[in-house]
Amino acid sequence: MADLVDQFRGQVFGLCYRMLGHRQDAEDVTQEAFVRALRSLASFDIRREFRPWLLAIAGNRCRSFQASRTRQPRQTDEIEKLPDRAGDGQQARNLAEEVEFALSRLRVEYRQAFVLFHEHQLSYAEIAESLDCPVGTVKTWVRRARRELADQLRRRGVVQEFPDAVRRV
Amino acid sequence: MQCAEFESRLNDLLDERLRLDADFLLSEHARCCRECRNLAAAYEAVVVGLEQSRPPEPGVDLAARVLTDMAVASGSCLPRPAALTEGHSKRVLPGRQRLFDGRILHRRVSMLAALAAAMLLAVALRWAVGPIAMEPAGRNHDGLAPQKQPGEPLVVQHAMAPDTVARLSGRQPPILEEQATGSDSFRGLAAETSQSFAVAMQLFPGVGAAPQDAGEASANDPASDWVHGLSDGLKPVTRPTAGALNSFLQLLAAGEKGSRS
Repeated sequence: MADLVDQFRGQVFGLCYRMLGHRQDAEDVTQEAFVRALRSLASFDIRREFRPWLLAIAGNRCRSFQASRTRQPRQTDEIEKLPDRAGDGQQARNLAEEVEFALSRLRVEYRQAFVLFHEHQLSYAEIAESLDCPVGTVKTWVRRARRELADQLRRRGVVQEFPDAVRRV
Repeated sequence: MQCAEFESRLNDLLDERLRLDADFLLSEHARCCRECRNLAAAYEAVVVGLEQSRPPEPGVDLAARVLTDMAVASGSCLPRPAALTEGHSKRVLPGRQRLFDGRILHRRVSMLAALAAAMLLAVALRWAVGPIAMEPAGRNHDGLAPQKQPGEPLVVQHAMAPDTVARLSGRQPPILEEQATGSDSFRGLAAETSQSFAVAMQLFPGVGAAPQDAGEASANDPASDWVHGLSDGLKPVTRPTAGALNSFLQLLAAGEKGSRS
């Protein structure tokens, strides 16, 4: 049981952290997700993939946590950071922070689908099974997430553009 | 390639987890179109930024915390007795725990509440009915009925009832047809009541006498003792009460209007 937790804790915590944007909350929800998963392990269908099932539980716990946090809003430690034009290492860190910030502003469904696809390398079919929705819906969510993230990065000046570029309508 | 196709093709490429430069047509269009090139750069920044953004590592004690939670969670569910694991769905708890089991406790409290309610109802009924038997209604002291000498049996008084009826019948208002039946039955009831009372007085002469008479009667008559023994707590009928009773019976026998007063 401890081996199982050790094997998947990074991925579950990563998803929770992306979904919640707060380390302590992500740890709490990760712990809760593991407990839930282990308690319902007897009902797990062994023909299915374990990782999408576990990540689906974690995603559901994150949504429940967010719903409760919406009812009781608290101070978040999200700080809007402006990028500076320092060296390459600093620029890369700034880009990562900007992406994290843009991710936190996405709709929950978009965020979860995007993170599961791009970070956890799940296929659309696995994400659809995890989120219990059609594959086409998942594709739409991921594409909208990309577009919104790209637009946010452009609006915040993270992406260097040509000065005379004409904005698309 | 049109700009409208560019984004769709770009997404198809990302869906295949490929780099943007893997598609020659896309690269060519981006080189010609500044807007599409900016869009492609933004998409690439998203992917690169996500790769560079690594979430922090979870605490090393996560596994221990999960296992502790699991132990606590499994400890809260008490194991069922082995005899009940098959074919029985009802959960039986042992000893002290059974005493405080929610369902059993609720059933016991309900039974106690029902018992208390029944006792309260009985006390309330006793309180409502009791004073009538324990304390006679207001006695008539105004001497409406002829005074009797001590020890004089009331039978004589009741024997006068038919005469009284005959004497007062002339003052009665004319009886209508529809009233006749009720009035006759009322008279019959009154006569029957006075006869029953007369029989009772003959059986227990001490009951209708004054207290001192009752004492004398009880000394002579064992039936009086029996009555007093049964009616412990009841006051014996005194002389004014007997007089009031006689006058009431006379009024009943006469069937006069306003006899209720």
